[in-house]
Amino acid sequence: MVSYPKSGNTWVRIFLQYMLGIKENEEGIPILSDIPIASNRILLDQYLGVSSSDLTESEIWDLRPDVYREISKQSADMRVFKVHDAFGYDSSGNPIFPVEVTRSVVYIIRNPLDIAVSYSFHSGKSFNETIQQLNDPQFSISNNENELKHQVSQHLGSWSNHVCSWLDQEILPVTFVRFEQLLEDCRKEFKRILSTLDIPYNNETLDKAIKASDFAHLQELENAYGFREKPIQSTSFFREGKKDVYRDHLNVKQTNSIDEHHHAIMKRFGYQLFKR
Amino acid sequence: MKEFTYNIFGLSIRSQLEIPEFTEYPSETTQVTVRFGSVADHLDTVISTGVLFESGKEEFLLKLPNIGKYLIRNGTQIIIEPKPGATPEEIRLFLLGSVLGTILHQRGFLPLHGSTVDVKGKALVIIGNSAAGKSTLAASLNLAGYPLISDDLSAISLNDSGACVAHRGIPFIKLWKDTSGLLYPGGKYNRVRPQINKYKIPVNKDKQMNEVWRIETIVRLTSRNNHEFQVHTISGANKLAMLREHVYRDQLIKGMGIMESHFHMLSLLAGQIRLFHVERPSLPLNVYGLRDLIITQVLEH
Repeated sequence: MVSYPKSGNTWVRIFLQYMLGIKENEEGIPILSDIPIASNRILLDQYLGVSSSDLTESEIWDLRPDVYREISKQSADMRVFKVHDAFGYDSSGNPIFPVEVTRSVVYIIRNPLDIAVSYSFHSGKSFNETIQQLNDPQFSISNNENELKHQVSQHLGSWSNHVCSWLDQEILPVTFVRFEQLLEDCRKEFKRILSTLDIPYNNETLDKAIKASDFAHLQELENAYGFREKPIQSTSFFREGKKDVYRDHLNVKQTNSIDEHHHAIMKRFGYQLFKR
Repeated sequence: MKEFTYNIFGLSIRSQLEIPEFTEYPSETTQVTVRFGSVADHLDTVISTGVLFESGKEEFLLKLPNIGKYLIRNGTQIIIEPKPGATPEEIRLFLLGSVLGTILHQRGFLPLHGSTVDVKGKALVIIGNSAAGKSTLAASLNLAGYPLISDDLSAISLNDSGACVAHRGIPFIKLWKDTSGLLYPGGKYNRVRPQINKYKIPVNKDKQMNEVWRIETIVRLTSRNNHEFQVHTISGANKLAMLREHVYRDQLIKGMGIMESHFHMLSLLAGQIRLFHVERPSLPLNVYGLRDLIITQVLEH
């Protein structure tokens, strides 16, 4: 499950986890540990056998394909991982997600104008800072240079770099799912994801999973009990779940900056800047 | 070849590799030898594997791409074949981590992923996952007069009267740049590896200390997205389950029958200690707030 941050990955992950046999805690909050992020340090340490905090960034990067091979070797069933990395290759030129153990890639894409708003609320950064990140070809998250983070470093590049890295590679099969389509008809999109992943289902479980991963329902749960993956600096993880939210938040200079940097890819995916 | 003798976790070690992190300790007997030699790429009989290791019934092989190979046999022998270009610091870094952890497992210790400090002659063990803040908390307690017993890897065994005791470990603490700068401002320390901004800080190296401490309290440290600290007292069957999660790299010993014997010690430990789960805000890093909370709500509780 690949996406640039704040593009709907966790929403889809919650749905999928229900389809794969969800675990909930006493309060009915989905436990997402069965679909971890592929850059999770504890996960890597578990399969490596040493502490990744003693390895250099380039060593970790080169070992990641072997970690995914090892996970596959030790797993009886398909495993689902969340990924924020741009697609890339290790120092020997092999893809970081090895083709022989990757069944399918679902890429969730969202209008970068809305990502700017959502990611700003998520990270507690200003709109300008977030836009700068969206436009930055060197952008990475979980930088571990001077402190230890729960995830290893992930290179994202600019939003367009990120989309293109997955779009233009021909090694792994990728299905693109638009966040806006999910909002419009999640049943249709969820079914498409299930068929891409070869996950069998019946309508009863599908109905239940759709209901359980309903955005308003997730918001209610978060309001009542909190959500573990919410960063401390943001007020809520499931904040709005709407499209075109940028119109209420970004000024013309800000929207133009995103449009200038990402016009070609935005156009390709049908994202058009609403001119005021 | 010159040999060095050390005592760590109560084990007398004879080593061809100089290990300045250890305290030299002359001894007539040797329980573990460390030597250089050639190491095969694979074990003859493999029970379980990971990306960088193979484990068999009594043998364990660790293979690090830029550092070298380590073969560990019967809890008594460590053979190292370094890669050209690997520095002595790098060779020692992994020797003092997964390799020493495996030796402890093989010798029947219960190694926990955690740091231990001395609280008025008893041990407080701080367990938790990577990046939970164990070493930072242990370092801040050490500075507040609770001497460090061991960092990151704690070795537990039973004494003659059946009490769980922690052994004196390596007198060094490893801190990342952010917390080492905060706790030891202006200090000049060596990096664990040239490319990693994590520093080795000597702690109580030449201090006269006990060799074993009875374990009285264990704190499991986690972080969460809430602005308040929270302290939970863990009781009943939850204690065993929580302790079990923090056995040091138990993936290395899968299939070797060791975990089964650890289980006995884990149950005894659960019965002998007070266990607290302390949740800290993920940000900002409030080192002194956490330290004072542990002192007032756990140690003086």
